[in-house]
Order: sequence, then structure tokens, then C-alpha cells
Amino acid sequence: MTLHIEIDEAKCAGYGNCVADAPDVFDLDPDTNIAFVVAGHPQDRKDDDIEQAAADCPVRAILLTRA
Amino acid sequence: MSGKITPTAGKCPFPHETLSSFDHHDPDLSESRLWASYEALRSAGRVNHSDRYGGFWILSHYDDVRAALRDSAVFSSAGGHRIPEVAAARAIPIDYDPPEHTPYRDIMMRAIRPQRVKELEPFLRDTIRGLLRHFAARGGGDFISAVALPLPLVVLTQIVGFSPDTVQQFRRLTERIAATITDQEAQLAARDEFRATLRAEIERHRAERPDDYLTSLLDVEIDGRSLDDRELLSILNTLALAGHETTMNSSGHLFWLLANDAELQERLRVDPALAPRYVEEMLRLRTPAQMFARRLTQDVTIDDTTMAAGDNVLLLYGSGNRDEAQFDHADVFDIDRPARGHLAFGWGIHQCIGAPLARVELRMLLEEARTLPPFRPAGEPEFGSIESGVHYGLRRLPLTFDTEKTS
Repeated sequence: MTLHIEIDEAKCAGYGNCVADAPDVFDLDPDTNIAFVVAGHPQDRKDDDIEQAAADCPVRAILLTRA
Repeated sequence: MSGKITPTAGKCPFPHETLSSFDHHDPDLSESRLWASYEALRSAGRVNHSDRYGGFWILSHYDDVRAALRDSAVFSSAGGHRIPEVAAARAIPIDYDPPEHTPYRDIMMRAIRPQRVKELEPFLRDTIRGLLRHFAARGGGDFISAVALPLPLVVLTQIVGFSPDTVQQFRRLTERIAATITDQEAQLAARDEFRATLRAEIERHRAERPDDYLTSLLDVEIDGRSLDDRELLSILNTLALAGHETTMNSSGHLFWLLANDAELQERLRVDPALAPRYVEEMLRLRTPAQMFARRLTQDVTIDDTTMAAGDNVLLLYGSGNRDEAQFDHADVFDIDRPARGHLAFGWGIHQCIGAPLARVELRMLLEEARTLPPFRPAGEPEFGSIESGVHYGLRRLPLTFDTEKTS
């Protein structure tokens, strides 16, 4: 079971809570200030941090699905 | 008293009696005492209790404040965001819990969503450049009245659709409300006056229907019904108050820090891409909205102290942001630190809806300031106390420019 992370770029407002919660998974684009998922981020750990990041997002822009 | 205390082993600079009567409305709680009070509270333990205003708990550690903000079901907002509670002034959206909170917040986000901020950028740039160049051309003066206050007021005309005459009333009315915050009767009178000003704006929009956010509010629906007048007034009240006070105080803090440190100014001049770091670190270190209250829906125990359901809890954002357990050398302005995760905008479902706008305005202030001659203090700044039990900033910030160094 891997956690699939999707960011709704229309909703993201650049709060950056996700980056604080899981800095090796999320980052903000320096130009647009919109969050993105870091390429090659650890796949099989840090689920707690990722779930915390999704819960902390003030605009509910992080969508998690398990596949 | 000096602003920074050095804790000495076994000798607490604040006796226990002082902590147990901690009063965030104390007019003397300002620059010289504020940070030392927080340090004393943090040193005394994770949970403190004050006997003021019927008694309330205080959380001052970063981890505890953030954990409380995350747990909105237990740390409820429905009892108001202030201690003492101003029941007649229950504010949308901050004094509501889900599910009521969610549609209110979504409606308000529309006024300042990122796309709207993007559209406004040219206007913001022109406004900021104009205010700063005019200020510099006069050789400086009081930064607060010349730049820090007019900027968010002008922005409110664009964001909401208030008329320029209306926004000019906001500062006077806000100060009147703040001055009466612990006096229920005077408070109601002050709020009535504010509401009358807002009501006139609603009437004007009903009659003229200009193409702006306020007019869109008249048409918006929650569960198939329009907003009633009480809801409209509350939303506008929040936008008018929270929309100017916080930005005014943020700009003041930022320019106070820069004016007192020529090297900081120079570094920004050389590398304007650092501006967002300056902004975040100012927000962490100075925290324009210092504290908000919550009310417990169930018993909560921290370190053997049980806070009971129904009790009020004051969350000290400004203290959490200076917690050494979270930020190294936390009392120092250091733009090279990772400041992300600070609590200046709160955290989670009630996190400041204006944050994206504030970040752009403050960044632009810095980008435009670097084109001006170097500036420095021209006399003593005047700090306020904790206004309305929330806000902290400068009342006056006299600055002057080193015109000889103009390049």
C-alpha cells in the first residue's frame, strides 16, 4: 500500500504547513509559492507526517489516496 | 526593565504571584516586558494559570500551542477568540467551529484567494511604491501614519469594495473598540458605531451593485439561503478589522527592525530575493497577532495539570514563536534560519485567510524599500500594548533617510 499524494494547485495558497510537517516530501515553488511533491521523496515511510500535512492544510489542498 | 532577561539559576525574575495574575490587557505589557513575561511563563512550566477575568489557562510552548490549534474539536472557537469573551461580537469565521465554520471561511477566502491576489499585484506594487517614495521625498516622518496604516486601508477598497471614505473611519473606530475591550457597555457602543458604518456600505451596495466582493456577498448562499444582515455585518467587520490592523503592525515591525540595522538593509539591497525570508522571520520574531483564546470541550491533562471542560485557554503564539525548543537563538532576528512552521498566522483550520495577501504586500514593501536611500530611527519609537487582547505593534515609528548616501 503506497500513499498517493495529489496537490490541488487551484486551492493551494502557499501556507507551507506541509513543508514544515514533512520537509522531504513537500516544498513550495519559489516563483508561484504553490506546493509540490518533491521528486523521489521517501516512499515507504513518513506516512504519519504526510497525513499530518494533509490535516494541517488550511485550504484542504492535499489529497491522499492509498493504492 | 530591559527587554531581554538572562535567566539565572534558581532565581526567577518573575515571582509566582506575577505569573498567576498574568494579564494580557495590562497597558504596561509592551516591548520592555512582553518577551520577558513569555520567557518566565515558558520556564515556569507547560501550563500556567491566571486568576484574571474569571480565570484562564495559558499555553506558551510551541508544541503545545500548535497541538491545541490542530485539535479544534477539543480546543473550541465557539466561545470566542478573546478573554474575556465579548459575546455580542461573535465574529465570522473565527468564533465558529465546524461544520458552521467551513462555509463561512470558504466564502471569505473568495475575497483574497491567490488568483485574486495575483490580479491585484500591479495595483499593490503601484500603491506601495507611491507611499514609500512620497514618504522618502518628505525626508521621512512617522512610518506608521504615512505608510503602514494607509496601505492596508487602500487595499481594503480593492479587496472588499469599501469606499475610500469608509476605510478612513476604520482606524478611529478600531481604536475606540480596542480602548473599551474590558468594559462591556462602552464596548457595545463602540461596536454599534462600527456596525452603522458597515451597514451604510451594505445599503450602498444593495442600491448601486458595483462589481466587487461586497456585492457578491449579497448573492452568496449557504444551504440554499442568503446571508442575513448579522452575518454580512460580521464578515465585513472581520475583513475591516483583521484586514488592516495586522498588516499595519507587520509593516511597522519590519521597518523598525530594518531601521535599527544598517547591515540588514544593505543585505536586502544587494539581494532582493531574500525579501520573503525577512518577512517570515519578522512574523516569527514579532508576531503581530500575539494570542488567541479557545474553550475546552473536554478535560485536557498536560504534565499532571488537568484543565477542565468549559475552561478558557489562552494560546500565546508570540511565545511559541520564541520557544528555544523549536527555534535556536529564538530571540534573535536571523533570516538564515528555517523560520517555516512559525505560528504567526495560527495553524490549521483557522489559519489567517489573509496570509497570502499579507506575504505579497510585505515582500513588495521590502522590494520597494531597497530602492530608497538608507533609513534610520529619528527618535524613540512608541510601542502599543496588546490591543483588543490580540494585536501587538508600533503606534509611532519616526524614521529619517540618509540622503547623502543616495546612489
